Amino acid sequence: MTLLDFVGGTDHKSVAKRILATAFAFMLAGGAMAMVIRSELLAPGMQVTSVETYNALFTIHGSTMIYLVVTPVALALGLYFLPLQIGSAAAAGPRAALLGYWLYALGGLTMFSGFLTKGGAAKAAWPAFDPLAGAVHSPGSGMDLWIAGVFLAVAGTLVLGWCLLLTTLRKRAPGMTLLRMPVFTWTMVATSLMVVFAFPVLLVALALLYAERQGGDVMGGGVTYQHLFWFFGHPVVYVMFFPFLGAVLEVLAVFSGRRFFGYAAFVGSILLFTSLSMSVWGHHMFTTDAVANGYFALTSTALIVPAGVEYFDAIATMWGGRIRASAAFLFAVGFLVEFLIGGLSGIWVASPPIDFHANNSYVVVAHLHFVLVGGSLFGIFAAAYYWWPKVTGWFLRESLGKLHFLLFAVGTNLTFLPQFVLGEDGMTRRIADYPASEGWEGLNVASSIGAYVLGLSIVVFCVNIAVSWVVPRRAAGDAWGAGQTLEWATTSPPPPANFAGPLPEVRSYAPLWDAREADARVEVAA
Amino acid sequence: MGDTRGSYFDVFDVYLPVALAVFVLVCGFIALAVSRGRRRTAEPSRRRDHHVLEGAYVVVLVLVTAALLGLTLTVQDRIAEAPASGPAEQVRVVAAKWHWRFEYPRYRIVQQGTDDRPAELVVPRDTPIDFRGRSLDVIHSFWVPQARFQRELFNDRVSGWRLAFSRDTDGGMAPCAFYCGLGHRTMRFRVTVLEPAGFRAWVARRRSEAR
Repeated sequence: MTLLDFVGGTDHKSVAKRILATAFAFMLAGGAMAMVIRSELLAPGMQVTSVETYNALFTIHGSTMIYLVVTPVALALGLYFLPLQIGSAAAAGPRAALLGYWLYALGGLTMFSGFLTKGGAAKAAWPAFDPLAGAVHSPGSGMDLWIAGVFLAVAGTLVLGWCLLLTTLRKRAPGMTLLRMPVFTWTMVATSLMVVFAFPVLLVALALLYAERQGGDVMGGGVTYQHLFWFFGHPVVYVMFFPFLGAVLEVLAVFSGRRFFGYAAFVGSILLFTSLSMSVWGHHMFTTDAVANGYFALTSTALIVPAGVEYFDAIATMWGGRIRASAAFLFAVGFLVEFLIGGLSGIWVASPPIDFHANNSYVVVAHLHFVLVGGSLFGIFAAAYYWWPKVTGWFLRESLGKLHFLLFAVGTNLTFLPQFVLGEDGMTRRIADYPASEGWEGLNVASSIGAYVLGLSIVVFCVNIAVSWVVPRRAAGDAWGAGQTLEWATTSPPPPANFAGPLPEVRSYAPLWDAREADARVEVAA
Repeated sequence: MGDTRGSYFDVFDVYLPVALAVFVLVCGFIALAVSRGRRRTAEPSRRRDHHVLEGAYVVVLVLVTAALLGLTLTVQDRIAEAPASGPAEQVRVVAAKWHWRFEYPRYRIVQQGTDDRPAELVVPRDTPIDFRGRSLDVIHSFWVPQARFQRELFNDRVSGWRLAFSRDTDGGMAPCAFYCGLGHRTMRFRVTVLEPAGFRAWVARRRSEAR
């Protein structure tokens, strides 16, 4: 890739790869911050950092992982694979997508540049609650750089969301009707719908926050800010979940040798999921006494229905399959198990009488990490092992992948399960220190050891990339020999216009499966 | 009435077994599907949907949702509609970076926390207490873990709630739950629950100290 391509290349695959590489770098930075945070919590008292640094670290850790890692990765996977899955030579709005990348990358750098300022980076937590994030309580340019950085990054992902929505609406190959789009493509449609409706609200909230910091009295109080923030802040959780759910379901189908089960119910449930996701934000505000708790408990608990359908479809897809337990498949199964803990604990805190205790405690920290590690990172790694040969033309090592999976699964549970107990016992989130008298040290040590295991698993992943790159094992077009969707009908990596030859006929959401089935019928007939 | 700890466990005692049962059931199905699929040598099944089974399953999901919601809303209403019967004490809560202050308007007593001594919330046992709380700066949250209750305090609105403290809550440390900046980790108060006679004696002693 020349420098000019890096700055200005508009091929959707190249833009997506730049987003993924940038997000990976941010993930390493955000992960390193988590290591420092967990080291500080090993024992009561302050040992590793100062309270000020700790507050900046957890603020930037959360902000990095949400705004700069998982959300951009979600959209980048869509940007890379949507045109391929729907048989298009390009994404809609390629130059806009390029703009989206640069807004995101520069936004990330802007946020991180807060560490170079005199007062350090922002310390108002990832939602930047008003009035804590106001000029009186958060003076200094670190907070301003945070607002500007998040604004740019979210504006970038908003642009990408529009590109993806328009790609699915405008760029489908002949025969690719809406109800023949692959499962992953449908999850990206749902994702981009949430992006285009919810993300502008955060941009408005950030603009108001910035104006407020300049002396304008525009916000209307802490409750108003929470409404605006969580109207973005809840849908974004599903933006960070749906694409990986889609990837996981495709992995399960491919490695079970089965067509995805329950397609029609799935499409209906993902759209129900999407609409509910836009109407549950108030469950973050049960303890304000300023929202209709009963209504938000209802919408939040109702998520059982679409989520239950997803699990049914996932298990039914494996049921009766002939399973190849590849690294991608293991991560996909890990996704189902770990996200289940996140989802069930979500129903838990969706009950106001429970949330009156659990809110702002480590129960919520455990819950959200089971959602974002279980429902995002396990899915990201399933997608990584599954699609890596398509993107690069060579496989990642399966043995190292399975070691990566083992460490990641152990680390996730060891880190976050103890936090449920700590929260139930009264440990508040976002504290740099806890009293020795509470007896929380043992569980915190377990949690920190788990975090180091997670760190080690990422090292294994990096080693895997290096080894697989130095001694490459080449992948064919249909790398796994069982691809069902159109991205496997082209070379690995795909040529600039995606498909060199004619596309297979599209008659269902699994066109390559149809083609194999037809071949089998011809053989039988012969 | 005001027994938020009891309300919490009314939901807890149903939700936790249900969550664990669902977890075990789903993981069991996953394990079964994977182990059968690993052993299978025959061609994979070609079945791609089963509308009756899917429909019946959705009905089950809706019923589970309705049952859980029914419990949650019933318990929530009980917390919200704490009846006004019985003599209620009144306490005003003032939160400011990074201390608590409790004012007893009826007795003209003020309990102010300092850097060295966190504020002490002294309450009579099993007596409903009407709280009116606000913050002087950022958002803080009044959280008594032992009472399983939390309420956010704002600088531009007054929050009201009613609580009754059982003996279980005595001696508990109550941290500010809502992240409020540098002093968040040390912003806490102590809960002391006294027998009604002991509370009256405490009031008398504090009033004489004030004079």
